[in-house]
Amino acid sequence: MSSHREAPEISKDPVADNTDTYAFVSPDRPDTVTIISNYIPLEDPAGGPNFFEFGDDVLYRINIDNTGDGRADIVYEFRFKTTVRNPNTFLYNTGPIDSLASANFNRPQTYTLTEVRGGRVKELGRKLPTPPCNIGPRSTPNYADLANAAINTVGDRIAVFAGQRLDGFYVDLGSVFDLAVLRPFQNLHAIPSPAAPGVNALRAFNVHTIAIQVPITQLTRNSYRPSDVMDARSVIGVWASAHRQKGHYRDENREQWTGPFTQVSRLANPLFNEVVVPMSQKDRWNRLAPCQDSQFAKYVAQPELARLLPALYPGVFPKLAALKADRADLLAILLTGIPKGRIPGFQNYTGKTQADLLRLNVAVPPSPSPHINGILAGDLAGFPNGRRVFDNVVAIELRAVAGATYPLVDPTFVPDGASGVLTDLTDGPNPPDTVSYLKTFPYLDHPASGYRVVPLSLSA
Amino acid sequence: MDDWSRRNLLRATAGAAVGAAVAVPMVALSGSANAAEPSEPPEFPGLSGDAGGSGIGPVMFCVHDAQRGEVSILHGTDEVIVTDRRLVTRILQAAGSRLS
Repeated sequence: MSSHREAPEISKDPVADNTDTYAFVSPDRPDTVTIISNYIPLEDPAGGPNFFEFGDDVLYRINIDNTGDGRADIVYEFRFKTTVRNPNTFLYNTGPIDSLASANFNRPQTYTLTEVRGGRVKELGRKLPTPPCNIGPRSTPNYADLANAAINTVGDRIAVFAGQRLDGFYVDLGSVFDLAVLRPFQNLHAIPSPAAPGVNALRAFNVHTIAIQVPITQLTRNSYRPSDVMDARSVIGVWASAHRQKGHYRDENREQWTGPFTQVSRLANPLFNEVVVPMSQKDRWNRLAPCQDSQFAKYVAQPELARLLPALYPGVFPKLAALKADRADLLAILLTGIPKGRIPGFQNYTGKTQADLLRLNVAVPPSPSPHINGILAGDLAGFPNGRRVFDNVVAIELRAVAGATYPLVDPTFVPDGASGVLTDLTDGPNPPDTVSYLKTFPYLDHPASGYRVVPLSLSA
Repeated sequence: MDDWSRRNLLRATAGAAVGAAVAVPMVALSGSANAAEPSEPPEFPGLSGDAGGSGIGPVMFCVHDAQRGEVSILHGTDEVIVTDRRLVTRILQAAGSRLS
């Protein structure tokens, strides 16, 4: 998955497990950037009575680098606090929750939002509410109203939301990790089976979302107001991270945390840690800062998946199999940004520092007719220029790894035909119909309700 | 090393039973007497970790490298690393182990 359960250690700590990070110029407020980080992979909407929530003991961060050194220049920090209103019941809610202040909402969670900018710490909001999980029509009627009431404006025109959302990421997970079967091409696999349509394994699963919408001039270097795509100041680097305190003690009477926060999860480009970094390095990668990523560049330059595809699909990727050079295209896309002169009218280069960042050129306006394949489909407002909620990042990265982007650095290279048709669930301009989004902040749709979700069934 | 941290560490470890363990784990100090008498667990101080109303919160330490006498002390959101072989020796003695 993008980064759901992507490393051994963090997969055992779901409240700190960053599943997806998004950064894009807001389509309905193009003078702002929306940044979203999701946590808690694969939330079954019916997972009561202890429904999902953020970790009170986790420090969540959204980080922005606007100087190209792989270090955060601006940080938004989120700390959560859970209250139990009635300690004498096992119930999450003791009746319908018709407002965030409802006495029936037995386990409300609030949060503090702090901005750290140039070493200066500024509290932007305190006791900001989160909505309950979407339980069902009796417990959480009018869910949209509940959720919308949890959208707050803080600081200088900053919108913020934290709470449960429908996972907007889509992937044929059961197939991809069955030895990289890409339905409906399983008949071409080394272990073939009849062609069959793909399955969005994440359909109707929820996540917990932290979303913030910030005026662009509060994110760019020296408050630059973007007007020139080619201006280096138009590019920001974004990543999300989760941190726990170093010391943890637990006995029959107490659980205590103390000491400085240390990073346990981070995420910028989807699939970086999941597919590029080898198993033995994944946990370590999660503990490091983007400015330390040059040590992982060798895995980008010679990605394992690029060797696997020709082996798993005999005869389908002969040109990829013959491509032995370091993948300068992938190094640019994932670690430095795409420099000027590669794609007409576009760059998101942040300099020589190799760092896994979502690089967003904020001077590129939102597309009036977006395409889920982003830049590969000529839509410069999409991945890998930042990442929108609906971008088909799996297909884009599959194609890139298969050689579709290598002509950016070697125009004489002609990719395999298959590299241009690799898909994940859908190949049109729109996302599959198993996922939905909102047109306004926070853009990820309201979560699936536990009462209404039909459990997945098994097929042969 | 700060007096308070060293004093607390020594107090906390002074009464621990001698055993055969060699590993030096991270230890939470919720108050010297409590840590030294595990058979009488203290009142639950809550996640605030305000140990016995002392106002200093929980203090934990970890001996990463006994040979070098290095102790990491965690308190609040801070970490102090001190090198003090005498202190490590006392801790190891309290834990029922010793430097080889």
